[in-house]
Amino acid sequence: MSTAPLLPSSLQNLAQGKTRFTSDLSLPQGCLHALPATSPHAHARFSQIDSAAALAVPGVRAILTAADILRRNDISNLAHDEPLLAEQEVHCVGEPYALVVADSIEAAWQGSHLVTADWTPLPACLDMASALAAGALLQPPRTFALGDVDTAWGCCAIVVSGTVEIGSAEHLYMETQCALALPRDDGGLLLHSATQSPSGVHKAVATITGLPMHAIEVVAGRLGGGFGGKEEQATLWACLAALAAQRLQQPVRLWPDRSDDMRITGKRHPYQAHFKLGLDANGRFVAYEAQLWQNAGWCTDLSPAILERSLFHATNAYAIPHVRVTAHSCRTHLPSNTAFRGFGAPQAIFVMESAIRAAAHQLRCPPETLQARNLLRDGDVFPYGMCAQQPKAEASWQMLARENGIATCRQRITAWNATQPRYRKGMAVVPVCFGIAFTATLLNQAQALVHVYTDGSVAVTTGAIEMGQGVHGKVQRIVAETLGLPVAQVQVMPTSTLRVANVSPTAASTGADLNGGAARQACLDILQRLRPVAAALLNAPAAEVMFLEGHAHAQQARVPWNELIAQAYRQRIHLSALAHYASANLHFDPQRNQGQPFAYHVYGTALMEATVDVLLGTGRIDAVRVVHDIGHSLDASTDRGQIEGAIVQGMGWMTSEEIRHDSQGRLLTDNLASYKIPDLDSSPPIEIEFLPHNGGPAGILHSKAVGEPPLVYGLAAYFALQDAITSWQPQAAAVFRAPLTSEAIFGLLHGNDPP
Amino acid sequence: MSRPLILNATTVALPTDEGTNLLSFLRQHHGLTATKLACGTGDCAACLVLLGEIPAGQTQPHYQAVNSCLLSTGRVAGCHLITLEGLNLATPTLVQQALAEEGGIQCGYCTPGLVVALTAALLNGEQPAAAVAGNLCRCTGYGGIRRACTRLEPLSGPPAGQLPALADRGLLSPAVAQAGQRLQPHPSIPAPTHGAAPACTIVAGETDHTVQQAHHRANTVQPWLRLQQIVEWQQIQADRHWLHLGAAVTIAQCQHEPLIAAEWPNLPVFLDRFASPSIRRSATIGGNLANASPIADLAVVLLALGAELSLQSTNGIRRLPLAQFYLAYHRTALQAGELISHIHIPRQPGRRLHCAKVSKRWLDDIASVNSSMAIDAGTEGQLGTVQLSAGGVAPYPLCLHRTAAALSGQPLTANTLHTALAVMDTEIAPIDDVRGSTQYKRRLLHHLLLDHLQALHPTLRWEELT
Repeated sequence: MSTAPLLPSSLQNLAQGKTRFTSDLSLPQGCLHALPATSPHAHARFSQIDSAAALAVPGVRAILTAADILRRNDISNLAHDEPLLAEQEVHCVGEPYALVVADSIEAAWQGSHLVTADWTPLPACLDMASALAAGALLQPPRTFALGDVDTAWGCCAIVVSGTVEIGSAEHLYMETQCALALPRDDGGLLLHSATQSPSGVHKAVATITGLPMHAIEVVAGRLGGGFGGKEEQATLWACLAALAAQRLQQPVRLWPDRSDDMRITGKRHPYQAHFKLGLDANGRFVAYEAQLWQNAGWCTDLSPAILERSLFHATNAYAIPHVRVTAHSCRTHLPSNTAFRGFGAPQAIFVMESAIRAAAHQLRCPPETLQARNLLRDGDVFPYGMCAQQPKAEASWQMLARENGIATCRQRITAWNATQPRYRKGMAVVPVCFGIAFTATLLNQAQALVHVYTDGSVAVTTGAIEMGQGVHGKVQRIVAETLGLPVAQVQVMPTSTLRVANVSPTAASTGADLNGGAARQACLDILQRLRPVAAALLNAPAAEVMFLEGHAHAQQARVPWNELIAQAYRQRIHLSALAHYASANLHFDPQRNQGQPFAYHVYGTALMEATVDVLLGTGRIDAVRVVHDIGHSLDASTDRGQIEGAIVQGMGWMTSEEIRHDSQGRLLTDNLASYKIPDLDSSPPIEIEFLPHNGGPAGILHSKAVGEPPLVYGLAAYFALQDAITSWQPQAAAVFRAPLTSEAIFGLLHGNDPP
Repeated sequence: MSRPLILNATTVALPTDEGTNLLSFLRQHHGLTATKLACGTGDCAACLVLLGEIPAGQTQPHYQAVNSCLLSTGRVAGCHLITLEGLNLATPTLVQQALAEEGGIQCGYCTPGLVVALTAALLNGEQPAAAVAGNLCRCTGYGGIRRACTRLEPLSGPPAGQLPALADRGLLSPAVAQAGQRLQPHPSIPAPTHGAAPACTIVAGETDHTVQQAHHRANTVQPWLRLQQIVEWQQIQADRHWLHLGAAVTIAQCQHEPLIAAEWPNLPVFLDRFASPSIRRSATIGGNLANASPIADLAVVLLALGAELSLQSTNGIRRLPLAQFYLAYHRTALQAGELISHIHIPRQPGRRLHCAKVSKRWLDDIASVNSSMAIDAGTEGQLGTVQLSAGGVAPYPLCLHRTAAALSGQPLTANTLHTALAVMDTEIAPIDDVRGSTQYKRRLLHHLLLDHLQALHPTLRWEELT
């Protein structure tokens, strides 16, 4: 496929600031602003809400509570344990229990801080240990197993074990959550929602308002970043806006500021783990056992699915014959943690990679020698019963290691550290194996609506939400390629639940595969109808008609697309198509934990180098090299950008990004002054090579999904820094506690106690 | 009635409440939504706009990228403000093309700030990558942004200098450049010889005022006293014994001042770690001192240099060593109506300065602990006179007099160091917070002292002293 030299119009609009994000939409006349009043307690009971002071603020129009909800006070997707507004009990600091509606955002903000209630504080669990002690699990523990672990320990030459702690992270999409609800004259509602899951919003708004889904339209334009944070947790804002619009019959917008957004929404799940890894005398992995605990926060949200993906990816890109991994989801009194790029896989992979470092430390060998020896090969079986088909783990590793790329890096670093007392270097290689598909099989479906207009231009709507990952560009290319048109002739529209219905969230890296698949099918349906028209115009058999370069071709003759469309319209040929796509051959039995949950796997390997200032305990990532398995790239520039962005996001999680709560469960790091994401200076140059593609099937047009897998490379930031620290303080080799902030590095180097 | 604002190509009236937030004014009053609200605290630069003004007494306008989320509309009276809408031409400019084609745009929410920062860099001849050091992007990992900067580097010098030249290069709408011709110099505002009026809102660079407001949403008292407009207080002068800096001198001005670079060559580079480029262009020395943050980067530097302050009020001017200025957490020796007018730094030939800071992120972060040491040339094997300061280890920026005394004139040995560290522990009282635990901050300051000593005595083997 060609790489277009012209600037696509969507990019031009972004560059010129013309794109209207949800927060940029012109507000309709009489538009009100609303913000929730939120719990100051991690856990408390209340019976009376006191709105008097808030209502006295000039401009405050109404205070809504759960009593104002006409139908069911429930916005949850899976478990029916998340009300829109709390009733009688709050379960975390930041849980909404009332909604202040006002003429201005300032009045809404003031009012929201003046609402109060007759709180009776209750005991709260903030960490996993206290949740476990209280028996607060979201669901029974789940175990994935392969082989016979208990017997296998006996066959191991060494067995290492250790504990792991992994911190949370804030999505920090640049555009905070936003929703605008407009009452319609027929009693229905139009919702503009900055969501990754328009149908999730659709369903929840119907539940809250009591309106049938056909009376509600949800429109989701471009998002200013999502990263999973607007998959489930955009629903709250849309439902609050819908509730207020329904009650007051006026347009209502909710647009929380950064600090409210950070306080109220959930984040990446912190994990704790215990691992045990057994190796034979040749350094081959024989058995692996791990216990994983996730801090789910107070309600279910997507935690069980995230936990499940942790189990799927527990062995990363390695072949291990005997495996048993058990995962627990702890219910705590924190905002409910949610989807975040990687969806639990990076946490589980961190545990596996930690186990390898522990083994390497004990064997006094570089971790990369153990990693290289144990990569997945064709036919190896994952603990969930799926077979690795043409795994690219070794191919990507070898490409990275060619001309001794890995070995010479290790030698250079060892030599450097032998002479440098202060600035120590370290390195880490991290491979990835990431399964592509929603693990909830039912979500692997998509819809696309393609209209060909009489001037020959094409509009396509799918459920794919564009949030920077380039999925609209990919869908546009797929449609243009299939119809044989220049990309400029194809326009991808914002998602509307009136144009496509019952869409899956744009998540799990599946956006292009599923929606591109549906869009391609819609185009093929239209071409099928156009073929006889073209055949007649070209005086050729229908089977010989091809659609290329803006023309229908057959037997050296051709007719321009516009003329073909005009002719087809005259013949009353249907020029639109609504197509449905469902990924083939996916199945998974959650009772036996066996099946074929993924369409395919994405592989790759990253090498990261780091420097630590031993005296001051600061660290820096110097360089990253990646070989990544992208299949046949639909858009090399977009894919490169996804890899670069994912690596830096993962790196931030492992280094400077630290979520802190106080002992009462209040978020301390609730702004960008205290929560530090990577900036240009701290982001290393990243060299990316794509693994040569052999033409096989994988995803849409032989491409492979790209959004989440490369986030796992970011884990190398931890292990490279740890490697550098270890050259000064060998005991640090057994410590697996992310993130490695300056304070954490200092602690590892010099101990945490007074000298 | 405040002077009007030239907003892109048209002249507009400003709200009567001069405390109106500039970003809200642009987005809500004028529908200029290209300028984004992402953090509201000056930490991400998505809201950058080009602010042009002709300082009183000058003829040439000066344009710079500033954070519209931090400023109030009163700040831009009589100025020319250019938003991304004002930069747009029918086709993308070279800056916009570079960002789009090199993969510098993903979700696009931070893009307007990047375009403004890079255009300002081309106007003023700054390095593109340095100009966007404070622009946060959550999508790209900065690869595409770095490539765009590299592509723009050949364009970065010589500077376009003025708007018409920028328009000639196809980087700005000609109508907006034209509108800039209407810009008038600011009226000259004399230094307030009697200090501030009893009830008024005093701001200097206004980089912290809105942040405080964002937390409290307090109504601000009228009238406003905008110290940054006082030309007399924007000057840096030197005599034989002192460097005199007006309180309204900005951090960026300090970085570019040859007198400062000559005296303390490392200081301009160290100040790259003071907030972001756009904040440094607005933030003033006086503001950094008067805010009394326990971790104020510049306060810590000035303490080590033995700076003194001129404080002005109805009672005239009094002079106070900076070391006596801080009394308690966010409490200073400033009396009601009293203003910092000047900062005086003693010039001592042969005295060297070392500044250090540890934070979670190297640039644009608040220190866990920062510290500065100034030291006179000692004799063979002996430390000269030491002045030492630290932030983040007490309720206010601290001059470590006794630790300095324990080092001054002593031989540089492990024994001296251990004595000094023991003294240091009695001088500081750090607390647990998001910037670090008490224990960490204590130990970190020990190591910062070693860092100073190694920087000033490169032959020192610090690892043998610990």
